[in-house]
Parts: sequence; structure tokens; C-alpha cells
Amino acid sequence: MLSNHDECSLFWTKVTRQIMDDEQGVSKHDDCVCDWATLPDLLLEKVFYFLSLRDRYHASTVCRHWYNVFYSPSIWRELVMTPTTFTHLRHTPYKGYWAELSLHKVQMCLEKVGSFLHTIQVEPVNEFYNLYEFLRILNVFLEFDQDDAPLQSLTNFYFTFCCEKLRNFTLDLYPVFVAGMFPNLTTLVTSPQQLSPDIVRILGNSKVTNLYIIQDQYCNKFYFIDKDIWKATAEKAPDLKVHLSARGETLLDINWQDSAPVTSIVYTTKHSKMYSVAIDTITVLYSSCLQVYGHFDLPRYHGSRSFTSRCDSHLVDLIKTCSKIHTLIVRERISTATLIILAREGTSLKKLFVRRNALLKRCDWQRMLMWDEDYYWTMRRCSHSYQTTFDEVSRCLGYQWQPLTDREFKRLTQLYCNDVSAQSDFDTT
Amino acid sequence: MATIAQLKGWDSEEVFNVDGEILNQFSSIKELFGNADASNSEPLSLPNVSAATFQKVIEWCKHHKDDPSLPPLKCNKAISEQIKDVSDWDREFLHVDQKTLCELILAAGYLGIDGLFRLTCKTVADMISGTTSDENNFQH
Repeated sequence: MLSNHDECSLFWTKVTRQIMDDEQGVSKHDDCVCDWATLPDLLLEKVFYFLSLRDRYHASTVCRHWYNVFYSPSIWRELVMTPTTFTHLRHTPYKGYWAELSLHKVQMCLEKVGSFLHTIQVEPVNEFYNLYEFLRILNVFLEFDQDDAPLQSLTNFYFTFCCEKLRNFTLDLYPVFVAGMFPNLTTLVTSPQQLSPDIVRILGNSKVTNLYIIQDQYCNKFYFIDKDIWKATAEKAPDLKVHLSARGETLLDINWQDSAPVTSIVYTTKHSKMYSVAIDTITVLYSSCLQVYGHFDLPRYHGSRSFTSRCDSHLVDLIKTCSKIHTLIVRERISTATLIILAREGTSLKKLFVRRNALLKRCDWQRMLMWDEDYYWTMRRCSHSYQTTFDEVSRCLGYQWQPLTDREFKRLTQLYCNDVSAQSDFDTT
Repeated sequence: MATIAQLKGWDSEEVFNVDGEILNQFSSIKELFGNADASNSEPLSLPNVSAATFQKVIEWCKHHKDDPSLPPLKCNKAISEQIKDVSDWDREFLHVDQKTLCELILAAGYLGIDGLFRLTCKTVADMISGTTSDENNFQH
């Protein structure tokens, strides 16, 4: 770095030379001593320094003089990555027009002016893909550059934001290793095909407390994660909560993560039914920590009315075994008797959402051995009328309980699906 | 305040008397004068500041003499984003033809007037940004 004095004297020599040139060329240039083309390099550099990369490029195409200034080291001391740096507009069917990082631009920049860079600063970037690709190219450049010391003058690398939430979905098996690069990350939303065993191990050492695994119709390949890995991770990170959810048009069931600390399982699918097998699996795998279970969105299929083909008994099993469930959302047909049993058996149950239209007014339960006379007959009596059922459920839950109309149920779905943060609020409140 | 420096442009013999408050803003040449009373000595000729430009520079400095010192700028971000509030007075002040603006930038850079330099840089950057090379060529 030149000292101030050096800079001044340099400036002096440049300026005097400029003036001498001008004096010689007076006849050619009329009497104009100063115009843009003859602005001293030093000043031009300052002007360039303040321009955005895009404008810098455009300015460099004006004339040879400005082009030379474009490659002067002093204007490339800092590189600030903003959401639109090195991007070009691209149209994709699912996103519309968006600013995609141009790999070529980044590559060219690093190649040509990389050695001048002292500071790289990354500003908050909305598009995860861009951030990821930028870091990847930087990595590759550092590893495989022909020079002995690429980015030799780089001294600072700033992340100006503490990345706390990260969303990432891809179609192929593609581990989201960058998750380990952000020390302050607390929420990670990902799809199951990005969750490799190694990532689960990394999560054990990170601050991530909420891991959302979201599955939709595009997910059909999964990593197999051994239950020992999940156990080790859960031990290392006792605060980690895993949220499994399926959404969209998917017909496949959720990819169960054995021994993971799953606290919520939510379906937002129109076409997948509530399967007794799935409920039994949940009962076996997550009995110790499950808190939220439910199906959102109005079903688009016919549900049977007969007791044997409904899931009533499995639901009761679930709520008996998983004692921590505080929110249960049932959209399928259930009978009033089942409703009463659910409310009675759910020891920590606080929220019970049931559709009014899917309630069957009947008691189709046979008397079970563990139920005494009183328990059974009160249930039978109450379940013969909607009003007495609601009263009984209200008594068990401790507040005035009502089933939801379909409109209310839809609104609940929207509330839940709009945002992940709303989702986490939902889980806690 | 008393005059402590006498300066003149390269193109005329008109002498400008500059007092300490304004001289302090010329960060690159203020040390030349120190504390000595320069009123008797020969006026210093500024090699690349014309009298008309110097007149404008002094006008700007008088208007801005009470400004607090500026925070350092971050480069690379378009300067127009960083200096958002340009006062009406400044806008009026810089409403000049390109030749004058060019001379102003040169003078501000040479005299080391940070505020004016930023302002003029911003104006030029604004002129450059959003235009393509052809349009810039046209302005050349």
C-alpha cells in the first residue's frame, strides 16, 4: 500500500505529464484541457472503484484507456457479493425469471483479477443455489488453479450475515454439505435425498435445533441412514428436533428415519390416505418423542365408513403409546366414540382438530377388557349425540371444544403451510 | 478568520484568498502552508485547477464547512446506493456541463476534498451506470 505521500507524488507526476501531453496537443484538442478521456488514471480508478461490477464492465468497453484502468489492481481490492453480482436472468418453468449465478462470470473474474483481491465479502443472498455455487467455484479455484498461490493477497473473507435458516431442495441425491459451514445455523429445511449419513453426523456437532425433512412427489431416491448414526447424533445434540413432512401430490409414504428424534409428522397431501401400517410404524419408532401428528388439506378420495377399514383403533393405539402428543389433526372419518377415547387417553393432548363433516355419529367399539363398566357406558351414551360428544371432549381437554368446518380446516392448512416459521410456532404453541 | 493562503488557478492571475476553515478541507495541500502567515508570499499556482473551477470549489467548501467528517465508503457497491441523500443545494451545484464536472472531479481529487470528490464521483458514476458503451462513447 502506498503511503499518502507517495500517492500524492505519484499523482503529481501523472498530472504534470498529463498537462504536458495536453499542451503538446492543444492544437488537436482545441482548448479543452480536460475531458473524460484524459482524466488521470488515479482519478478514474477512484471513479471505477465506486461503480458496480456491471457498470464497471460497461465503462471498460468505452475506450482503451478506460479498459486499462479496468484491470488496475487498486479497484479490485474488495469484492462484494450481492444477490445480483455475477448473475444473469434466466427463465425456468417453476421459478419464472430469476437471477442465476453465472459460473462463467465468476470464473473469469477470479482468473483475471483474483490475485488483486484482498477482501471478499458475501452479503445476504436469498438464492441458496447462488451462494453455494459461488463458494464451490471458489473452492475449486483454490484447489486446481495453475498458479502456485491463487488469491495470494486475500486476507479477509466476510460473511455479513449469520445464516440461521437455510432452505434447500434438489431432485437428485446431493448431500447438502454446506450445512456444516454455517456455525450459527439453527433451522435446516431440506429434502430427504440431500440427507446423507455424513450430514446427520455433522448435525450432531452443529447448533441446528430444527431439522425439517420435506418430501414431495419428486423424491424417490433416498439415502439409507443407519439407526446407530441417528442415535449418536441425538446423543450429541439433545436439542435437535426432526420434523418429517410429506406434501404435494406424493403417494409414497414418508421415508422413516429409524431412531431419529422425530417430534412432528405432518402430511399435507390430498391423495395419500391415512394408512394403518404407517400409524403402527410411527407408534413403534417414535413413541418417546412424537408431539405432533396430523394430516392437513381436505382429502380428495373416498374414505370408507366401516370400522375395520378405518384407522380408529390405530389412532387410539398411537395416542396411548406416544404420551407426548399434544397436537393431533385428523381429517379422515372417525366415529364420535373414537373421538371421546382419543380425548380421554391423550394425557398431554391439548389440540385436537377434527372435521365436522367427517364425524360419524356412532359407537362402533366393542367393549375392551381394560375398560370398566362406567367408562364404556358413558362413552356409549355420549357418542349417541354430537352435542354430548363435544361436551365430553371439552371436559377431557379442559376447554370448550368444537370440530372444524371444512372452511376452517382449509384455513388451518394455509396457516400451517405458508411458512416454516409459522410451522415452528405451531409446534410450540 | 484571517487569510492564510493565497492560491490561483493555472489559467489566470486572479488570486483567491483562502482562510483556514476552507484550507483545512484541502487535505492534500494544507500541510504546504502550515501555520505560517502566507499573506505576504507569492500566490501559489494550482497546476490543474482553472480559476472558474476553483471559484466553484470554494463555493462548495464554504457551504459545507460545517459538515462532519465522512464515514469510509465501501467500494464495489454502486456509490449511488451509499450516498442516498444529496441535498438540493448540491444537486443544483452539480447541474453543470460535462467539461466543468470533469474539471471539478480533477480539482477535488487534486486538492483532496473528500466530500466533493465523492459527490462528483457519484455524479459521474450515475452518468455511467445504466448506460451501455455506445452511449458512453457518444458522450466522449
